[in-house]
Amino acid sequence: MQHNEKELINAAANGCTMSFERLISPVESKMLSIAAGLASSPDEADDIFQEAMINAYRALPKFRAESQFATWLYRIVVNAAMDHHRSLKSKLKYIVSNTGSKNSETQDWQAYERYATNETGESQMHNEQLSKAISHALESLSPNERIAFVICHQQGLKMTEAAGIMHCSEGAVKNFLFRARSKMREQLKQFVG
Amino acid sequence: MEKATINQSLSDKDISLLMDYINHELDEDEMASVEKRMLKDKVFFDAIAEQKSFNSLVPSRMAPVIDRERMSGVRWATHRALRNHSKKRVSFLSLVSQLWQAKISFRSQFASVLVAFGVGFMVSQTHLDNSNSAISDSTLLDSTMLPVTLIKNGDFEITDLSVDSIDSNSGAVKLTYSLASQTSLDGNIASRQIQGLLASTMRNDVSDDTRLQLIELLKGQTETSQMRGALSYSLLNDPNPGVRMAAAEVLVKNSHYSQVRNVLRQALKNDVNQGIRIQVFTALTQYSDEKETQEVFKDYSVNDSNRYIRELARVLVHSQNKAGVNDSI
Repeated sequence: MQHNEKELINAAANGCTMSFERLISPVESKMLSIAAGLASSPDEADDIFQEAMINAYRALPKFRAESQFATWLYRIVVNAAMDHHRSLKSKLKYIVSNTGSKNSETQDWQAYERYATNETGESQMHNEQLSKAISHALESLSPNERIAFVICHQQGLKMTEAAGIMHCSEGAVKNFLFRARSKMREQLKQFVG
Repeated sequence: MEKATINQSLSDKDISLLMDYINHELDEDEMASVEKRMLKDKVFFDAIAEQKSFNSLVPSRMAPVIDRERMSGVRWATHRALRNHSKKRVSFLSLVSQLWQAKISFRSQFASVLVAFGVGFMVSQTHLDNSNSAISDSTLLDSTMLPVTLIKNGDFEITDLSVDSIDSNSGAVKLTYSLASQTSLDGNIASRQIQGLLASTMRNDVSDDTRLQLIELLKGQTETSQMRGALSYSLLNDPNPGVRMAAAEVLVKNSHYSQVRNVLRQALKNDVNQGIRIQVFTALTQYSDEKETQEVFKDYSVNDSNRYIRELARVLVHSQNKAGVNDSI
């Protein structure tokens, strides 16, 4: 751990919010991107990120330097996403927001996260459709499959790191990831040549 | 071969090997061994082919895009939440004391205010739509509120003096300079002088944090039109979405004032941040029978990019239209 990071952690653990914000600043975009991959909508992703950062701030006095700070933070974001999904409030919100408009052609793609591809004319429209399809396909995954897919495939973490975050073996992570990719491929078959 | 059959044929060991191959986590010998197996084992070959085709459709690291506006809004919402959870509890009086003694530099404040009042007045004339102007000029520019009135005689310094031109023959000279003053002020948060100074700071301070702190400090002082005016200015003009959101949260609690509702309607039409639009829209739904609110819902909200606003606005407009038809019958 860098000396500066250690100083910031100590200061934040003693209640300095500014130090905490400086600590998370280099990784905040990545954390929000993880939350976005695990959430059902952009609004929910923003809520999950905020809850995760509050949880991290509270738990910081217990942080041990044995693990990397970023890895520790990934785990907190993942746990916050799972807690959010389990909460009754989020279930009710999901049901209300999806009732009656699931098959509507007017359903705006902006209710879904946007995934990065080349943005030129026809490929931009394809990206919008693909983004919507990816967001929908992610909903078909089990929680562990989705976590493995988001942190390994989307965020590029190594299997060993993912296993630490998910509290399971590397073999289990590979299994979850394989099943996630197979299911996603099935859901996205209209885009596959 | 059917997909289900492929997956069922693969053992956990095969799956592990396959994933390592796809993710380039094998050494050269292991890669060679896998490729040799692919030549003989059709099931294994098909499984790898499927995974590769998935990669070409959804490449590795294809992740949700987080744009700057969104990150900025989330960052500031988190900043506020963190401050609320902070272990230190700062008393109201000590916060005011800190603001006056340490956090606000009056020297730079005053220098910027002198320029900003002149420029800001001209800009506000052109920026705000006169037909929908929610804040009267007299509210913004009450001369008794000007910070300059707080400066005691002679209690200032001249800074940044520059000689623009000088004519050695005639002695004509053109100078440009700034005036700066550091002033301490004892008073009550409810006093118009102090509120005027804080309101001016909310508009002009370059620090996002200071502007946000001031909104938090002044959210209980909205009985005066001056404070509501300052908060309105923040909602409609502040470049920081977190500050605009903080101002919106205070103003929606004061939506019983018609001027505030005018401001909320402007924010609903123009703010790029959907969180802020949701906040003001929710407050305005309580006044959906007002003609001005109905017009905004009909002309803007029914096409809002946010689904919650769009769908509820359509319901409200539809029910108002229906009520209008029934009345005419």
